[in-house]
Order: sequence, then C-alpha cells, then structure tokens
Amino acid sequence: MMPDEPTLTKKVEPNRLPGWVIVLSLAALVGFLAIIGSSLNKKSTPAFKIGDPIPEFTLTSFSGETYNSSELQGKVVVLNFWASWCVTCADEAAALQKVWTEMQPGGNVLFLGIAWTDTEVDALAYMDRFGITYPSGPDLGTKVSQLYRISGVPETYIYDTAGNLAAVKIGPFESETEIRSIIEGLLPEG
Amino acid sequence: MMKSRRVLSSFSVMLMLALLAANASQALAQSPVSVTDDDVNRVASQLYCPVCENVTLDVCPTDICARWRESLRGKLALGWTDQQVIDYFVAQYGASVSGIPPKEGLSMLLYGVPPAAAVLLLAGGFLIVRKYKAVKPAATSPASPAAARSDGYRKKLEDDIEKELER
Repeated sequence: MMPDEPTLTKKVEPNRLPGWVIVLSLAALVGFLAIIGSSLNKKSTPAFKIGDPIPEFTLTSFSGETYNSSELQGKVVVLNFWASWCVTCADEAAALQKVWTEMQPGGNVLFLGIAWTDTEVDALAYMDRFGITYPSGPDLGTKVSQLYRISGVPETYIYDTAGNLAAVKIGPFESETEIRSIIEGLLPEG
Repeated sequence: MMKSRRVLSSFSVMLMLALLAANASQALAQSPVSVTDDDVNRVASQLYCPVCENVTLDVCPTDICARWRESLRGKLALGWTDQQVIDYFVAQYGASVSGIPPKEGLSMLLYGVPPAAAVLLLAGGFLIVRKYKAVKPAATSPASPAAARSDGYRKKLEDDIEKELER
C-alpha cells in the first residue's frame, strides 16, 4: 500500500471571465444588433401610410415664399420630389405643369415641388426648361426628404383637403390623366 | 525753376504709382482664385455622393456628382476655404454628404459606443492576463508541495521498475 499516493493528473480549472463581463458583453451585442435591425426596418418601411396627417415642415421656394405644412389644410396638396439630374422627373414635369395650369385658378389645389440634392442653378434651369410655375424650393439639408424617407426621385405625395395622405406615387406619373383623376377624386363636389 | 521741376517729377511719380495700384486692383478683381483639379478633388474626397452609397465625390461618375464638383469649383474660385465649402454642402444637402455623423439623436451612439467598447475590451484583456499570470506559477512551479510529492512518487516508481528489471 502506497502511503499518500498523489495523482499524476491535475484537474485544470477553466479560465472563465467574470460573470458580469459576459452579461455586459452579451447585452451590448444584443443592443447593437437591435439598433441595426431597427434602423434597417425603418429604412425599408415607408414613413407615412395612407390616412396619415401631413407632417410638420417648412419649404422656402426659389422665389422666396415660405410654405408651412400646417397651414395647407383646406386644399389638395401635391407634394412632388424632383431633381434636375433625374431623367424620369423630366418625363412627368410637363404633365404636372399642365395639370397645375388647369387647376390653379380654382384655388383648391396647391402643387409644391421639392428639389432634392440639386444645385440652385440647375434647378432653376430645369424649371425654366419645363415652364414650371408652381412653387418649388430646395430641400435644405434634405430635411423633408428624410422626413418622408424617400427612396429616390420622382416621388409624389397627395394630401386631401383635411390634410391626410390620400395617394402616393413612387416614380413618374404615366400621364396627365393619372394626376388629374387622383386630384379630382379628392376635391369637394360641386 | 528748380523747385517747380522737383514738384513736377514727384507728381509724376505719384501719378504712376496711383495708376499702377489701380491697374493691380483691377487685375485682382477680374481674375478669380485659380482652382486646379487637385484643389477640387481635395475637397471632393471629403464629400459623398448623395445618390450612390459610400462613393466620394471625387471618384463618383454620376451626373449629379459632376454638377456638385462644378459647384464646388465655383465656391473655391470665390476664395472659400475647404471647410466653408464642406459646411455649405452639409447645410444644403444634409450631414450624410460629409460622411461625419451628426452629434445628435441615435448618431451619438457612434461617438459613445467605440470608446466604451475599447475600455471594456481593455478591462477584459487586463482581467484575463491577470488571471493567467496568477494561475501559471501554481501549475508549473516545482517548488510547490504537490509537485514535490509527485516527483518523489515518480522516483519511487522508477526505482521499483528498475529493481524488477534487475531481477
């Protein structure tokens, strides 16, 4: 019998990080993934759905008039995002202007053009080229386009007389008739 | 006679100086600051295309970028500094064009999280190193009683085997 036989193998304790470090790291990872997920989800969903009220924003046109969205109720508002470098915007520019010319005298409709990431010189040249007379202004700091989370240009948001979103058009309008029919459907009868 | 000639000559010198000064200021007013492509690219490389992701303005091939570069060239020609041009573009087109997140809202996380993560990593690394340092000597030191016991047993075992072999 061997007295006090020591074992040849030594039980090695695994090196573990303190519990609070593991918990904190996991919480940080989950939080980081949640922020990324929320951001991606936000980007992929439209900012406004049909029926939503017009958000608060201010637009100063190239000619210096200021339009506050909260003061536009009572009119059908056609909010069109465009850019002079955008080829498809040019496709609908003449149609928008034609419908504006027809509907402006009634006083129940307001077209607002928002020039997105455009230089003033190019934007004014574009307006001149298509004879655009409805108010248009630069989206300073891209604040309005960020508010609407636009995915590109052209994009058009049409509000009814109560100031609620009634129609959204992503991409250019096919024809004047398309624009006219949407607006006429929102105007009070008579 | 002598005096009037001196007055006349000093008058003509003054006239010449005045003409030269007027000419120089006119020339300065007419020619804007000369701007090279390198100047434009230097500033453009700090700005991002608004429609294509992660492409700086100096290498962006789109029409809008070409227009922005021209606008940028115009500002530099007016004598604006690089920072003034960048500030103008940020004011016009938003913070995303500068590639520097604004210090507001969720973007603040981008400023706070990396330093906090670095501190946590350093603290974690320090703890691990300290733990290893504390464990290693105990496991390998021959002076420890367990190791000494183990060596004694090993020697006894080897002696026994040798004795058995000698028989």
